[in-house]
Amino acid sequence: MENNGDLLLFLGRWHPLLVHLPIGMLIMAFVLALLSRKKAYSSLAPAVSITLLFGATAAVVASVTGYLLSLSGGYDVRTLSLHQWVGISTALVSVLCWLLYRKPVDTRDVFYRIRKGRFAVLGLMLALLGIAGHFGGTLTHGDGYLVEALPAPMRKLIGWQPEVVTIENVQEAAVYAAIIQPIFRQRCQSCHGTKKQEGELALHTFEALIRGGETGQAIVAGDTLGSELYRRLTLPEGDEDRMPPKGRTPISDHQIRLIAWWIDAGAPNDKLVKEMAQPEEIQPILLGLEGGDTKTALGKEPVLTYEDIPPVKQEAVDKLLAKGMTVVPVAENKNQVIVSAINYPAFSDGDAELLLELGANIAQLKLGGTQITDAALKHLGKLTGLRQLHLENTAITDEGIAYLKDCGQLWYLNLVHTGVTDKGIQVLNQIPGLRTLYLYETAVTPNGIAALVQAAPELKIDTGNYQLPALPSDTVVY
Amino acid sequence: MQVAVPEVMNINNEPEYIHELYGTQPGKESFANNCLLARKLVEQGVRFVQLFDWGWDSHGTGADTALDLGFRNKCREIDRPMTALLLDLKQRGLLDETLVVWGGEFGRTPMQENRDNKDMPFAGRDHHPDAYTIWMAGGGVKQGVSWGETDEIGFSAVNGSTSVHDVHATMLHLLGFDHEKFTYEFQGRPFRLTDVEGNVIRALV
Repeated sequence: MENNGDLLLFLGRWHPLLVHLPIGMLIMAFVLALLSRKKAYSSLAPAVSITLLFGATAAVVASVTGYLLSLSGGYDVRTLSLHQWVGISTALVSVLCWLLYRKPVDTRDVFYRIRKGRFAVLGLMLALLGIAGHFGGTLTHGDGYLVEALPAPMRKLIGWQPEVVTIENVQEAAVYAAIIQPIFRQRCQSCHGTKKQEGELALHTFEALIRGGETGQAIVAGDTLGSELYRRLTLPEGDEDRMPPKGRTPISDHQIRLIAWWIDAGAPNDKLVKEMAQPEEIQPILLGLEGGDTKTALGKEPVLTYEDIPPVKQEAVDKLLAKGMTVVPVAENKNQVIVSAINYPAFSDGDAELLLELGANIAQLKLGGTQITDAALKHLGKLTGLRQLHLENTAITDEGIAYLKDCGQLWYLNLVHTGVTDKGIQVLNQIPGLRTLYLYETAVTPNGIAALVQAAPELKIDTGNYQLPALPSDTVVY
Repeated sequence: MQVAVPEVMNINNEPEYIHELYGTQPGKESFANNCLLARKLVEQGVRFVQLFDWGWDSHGTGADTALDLGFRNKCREIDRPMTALLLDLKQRGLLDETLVVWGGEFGRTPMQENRDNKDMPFAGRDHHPDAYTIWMAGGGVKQGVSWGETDEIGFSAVNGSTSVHDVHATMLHLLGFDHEKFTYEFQGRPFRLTDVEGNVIRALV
């Protein structure tokens, strides 16, 4: 299709620029009107009407260009209609404001007679302006653009949750209908759907997707890298051909990976997730679609997640820091912490009580090489948020690790060079998430390992003692 | 530090089988001793350890830099200790959170170097920055994956070539840093360790 251009659309595309003029001017008019109510600033009063005149004119121009732009389609209909009508109302009310504030023609002027409430009308205009502006922003940047950037605690305060499509059981879901199509619907169909087919491409049905667009096939089944659709999604930011285009909500890295996975598998229309090969990097993304517990669904490596919990008490942290311990968060914006005694080897059973004040906030605890004994583990057993626990090179024994069975989230345990034995480690099968256990330089025997592995088949145990056989070439000097 | 360091630096008290594993000889200057020392430092919580090894400038100007002589000796000297270091870190549960990077700042040409158009007395190779290999182990890097390809003779990268910034971005990612956010102040503005470039090599993490 040849692009003949369209004068009305050209004018319409000035809208995003022109729309900022009335915003600035009308706010200025309000500020001037507000100030001029005070005696000291009463000299500003004559400026209000001229500012309103410019602002109202600009608002009318913005409304007209906005309407022209809306004719081209491609916007969310509901938000568009809200933006359109609130915007037009703003323009009309601003004209009314000007009529109320201008110098009266004569005392019989109807606007002059009702000017008592004019400041309230100005306030209404400002409110409409804000609402219209907000919907305008939502149209170009997508829903939630503003609040998404808000730090998590504040977001919680206003009760906003990101919109996530969750699937109850991802393995039973249809790959195309439940996973891939919703991505297109969310991110592509406003321009490539029933209303508009930019580049003659539509993505609202499987058949339309396969048909492709102006430049040929959108996807080549089984060949992600050869698929135009994938190429467009992964072009560098700023590239003219990149999709979604600049200013629209970008498609997420996970969504791109899902699309690639689906195309690589031949872009099937009717397969369920469980019928597809699931490479390692796709599994966590698929699990993420379920939204909930990502730990057990596939019985693979647990995906470490840190739930939102209240922050640690600073006094409790200060006490540990005073001893020479280190306390750092596991990640930005997370309240779980890593506590290490690496610089405080004198850490002993008495100090373990200090840890209790941090409670479930301790996700990783490094007590390797310290003075602790079994008595300390009685306290550690109460740290229910523990994921990783380092107890290597300490005097703990079987008696101590029996307390750890209540640490339900533990997945890494280091018992290198400790007093544990075959008998004691069997208790560890009661920790369902435990995946990694280090037992180098302990009295544990292959029999003990075999018994534990039988009870906890997913547990990887490393007993060390690696040997490197001597090769004949090791001694040859050239 | 003056109290703690002598104890950490002393490799004499390691058991005999550890010396066998690394091929260490206490008191002798060797890459093997350095590897064992590296493990001891990491075990004590040292955050960054660099092992420097000298003698890899294999131009073939003499027997010690000849591919079939000195170069083979160098390979033998590091092969066992670097394997031992990985195994020793692993058995102590340290490899999970220690990123081991093995590499140099450039590679060598796939063809022999003949300086000044004369046949050199020994077989050697010149510097070559366009195609070479580094490897990483432990610390969250994906196991058993290789990235990028060269042509048949190893002269040019034909696939998946990465810049040093990409490698740095990947290493920083593994260490828990977002290379685009992690900055330091210098000459009045924040600088990134990856300058203004670099993408994490996703296939490796």
